[in-house]
Amino acid sequence: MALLELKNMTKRFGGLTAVDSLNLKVEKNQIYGIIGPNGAGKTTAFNCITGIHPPEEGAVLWKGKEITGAPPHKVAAMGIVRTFQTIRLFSEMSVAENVMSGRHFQSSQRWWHGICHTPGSLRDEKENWLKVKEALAFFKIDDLAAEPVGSLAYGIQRKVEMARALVSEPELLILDEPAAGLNDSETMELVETIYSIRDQGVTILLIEHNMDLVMTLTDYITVINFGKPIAEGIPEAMQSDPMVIEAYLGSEDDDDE
Amino acid sequence: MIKSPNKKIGYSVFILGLVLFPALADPKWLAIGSTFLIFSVVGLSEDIILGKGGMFNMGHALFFGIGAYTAAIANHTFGIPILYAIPLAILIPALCGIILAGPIIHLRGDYLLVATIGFNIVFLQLVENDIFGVTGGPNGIFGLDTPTFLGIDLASPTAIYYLGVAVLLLTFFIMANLDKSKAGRALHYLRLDELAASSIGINTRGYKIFAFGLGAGIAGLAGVLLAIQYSAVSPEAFNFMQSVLFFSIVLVGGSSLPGILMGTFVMFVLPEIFRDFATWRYFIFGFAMILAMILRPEGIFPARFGKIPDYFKKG
Repeated sequence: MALLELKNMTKRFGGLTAVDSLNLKVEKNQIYGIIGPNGAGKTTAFNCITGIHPPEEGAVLWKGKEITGAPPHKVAAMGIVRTFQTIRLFSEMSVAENVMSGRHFQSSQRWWHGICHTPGSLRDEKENWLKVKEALAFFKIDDLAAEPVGSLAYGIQRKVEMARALVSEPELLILDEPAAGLNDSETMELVETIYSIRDQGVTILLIEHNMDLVMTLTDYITVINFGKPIAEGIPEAMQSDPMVIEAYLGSEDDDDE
Repeated sequence: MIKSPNKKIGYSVFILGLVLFPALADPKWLAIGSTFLIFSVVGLSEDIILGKGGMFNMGHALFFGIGAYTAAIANHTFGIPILYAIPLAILIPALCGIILAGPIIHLRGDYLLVATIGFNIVFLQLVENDIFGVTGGPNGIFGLDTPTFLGIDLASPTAIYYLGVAVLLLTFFIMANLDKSKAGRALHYLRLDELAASSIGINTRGYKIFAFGLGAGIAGLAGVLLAIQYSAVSPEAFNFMQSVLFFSIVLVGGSSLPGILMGTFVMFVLPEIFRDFATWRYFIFGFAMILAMILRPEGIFPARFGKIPDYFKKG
């Protein structure tokens, strides 16, 4: 059974079909890539999976169970956690506080602990902070723990966002263009990070524009264009697929004009 | 929690000052002190909803009023000693907060603001028109029993003042606790970026309703104190203008203890001290609001972040 399966998932905005009958199967421990030209519907597909925009048709199956249309916080609590193409952090708060938000649904505190702590909830509070500390060390940003995140460099913010997603101990980590805005050395570091996240047993689904990165990183790729899947396979096969080349580079007819 | 030593000293001096104040003050000043304590509690409870949760609640006097009226009706109509009515005067506003917030909580900023003004106006109409014949109409309810506890009469201004100190310290405790808990952080997260918060597993709707319930409950408790202080309740203490004042205290003072205490002092205590100032207070505070929003849009004492545990920094 696939970890995540999309069956004919379709999302329309008015007359525009942003995602058109998308089918894909992400197996456990894969690094799965979705590629496609700008506006192909990749981010919309992620929004459908994570409950931000429920799809109109089709189904999202998580470990064989239908979760179509579940609200974002429930999807996250099931173990599907994402990052955003345009980084979305709590910019006034410190790095550590941002990452702490990822511990939210792992924490055993209930609402009344907000009014009065118990010894158990204090212990839980400390355990979660220590997990955050571990995560900051993993991303080598522990010296920035108390810094307001809005004032940090773009590459660091990307790390904070990934750390936030990772401390929630997801089973599936969805990365929306994780290398966008990173320089070469930061991208190299990202590749290492993604591999070591996978080695921790996390499955990864990502969108990426950087073709070199996708080709080295992923185990399996779906190519979409105009919301429709046009090809899927291992990276090597995709590189030489005429449909894919056409979608990315335009057909030969276009070149003649 | 990392707290600068100055801050610790500041709070200690403030609390010590509160406790010693009655030794220096005559009854008139004590009454002013009690007013400060009660309205500070309401300001802090509005901060939970508006400052932390970022929800534009422009009807907070409603919950303050429900608490006061609950205590007054319990005492006047049902003969319950007013101190025993406290649990009820916390629970009923809290439940009202939860029930009223339910259908409007998804509204954004200005829409929520208008809806909460609506609730405030409806409440005022209900009490002024003597709903169920228990609210006393436009005059309110007066002649409430003085509170007694274990046979001790607590009617003196000093006793009422210390009751206010106890409630303010309780509110401080809850606010400090909230800041160090999952629920309190969830409010900050959802205020700063609701989509990111829900994508990381925070039930934003649930925590917004929690904020309304908690804020309303604390405001209700403050309402009981107001009823005790005046042995009476009347509708005009809970009108729309009062809600505007609570709202501006949080916005102008900033979402922090010093900000709200300062805002309460300027808004509710200065007019009591300088009677002449009472007519000028809206004029002056109006300009203060405009200037504060231009110069310090986060408030005069904004919320500070980076409150991470000490063991975080070591090693």
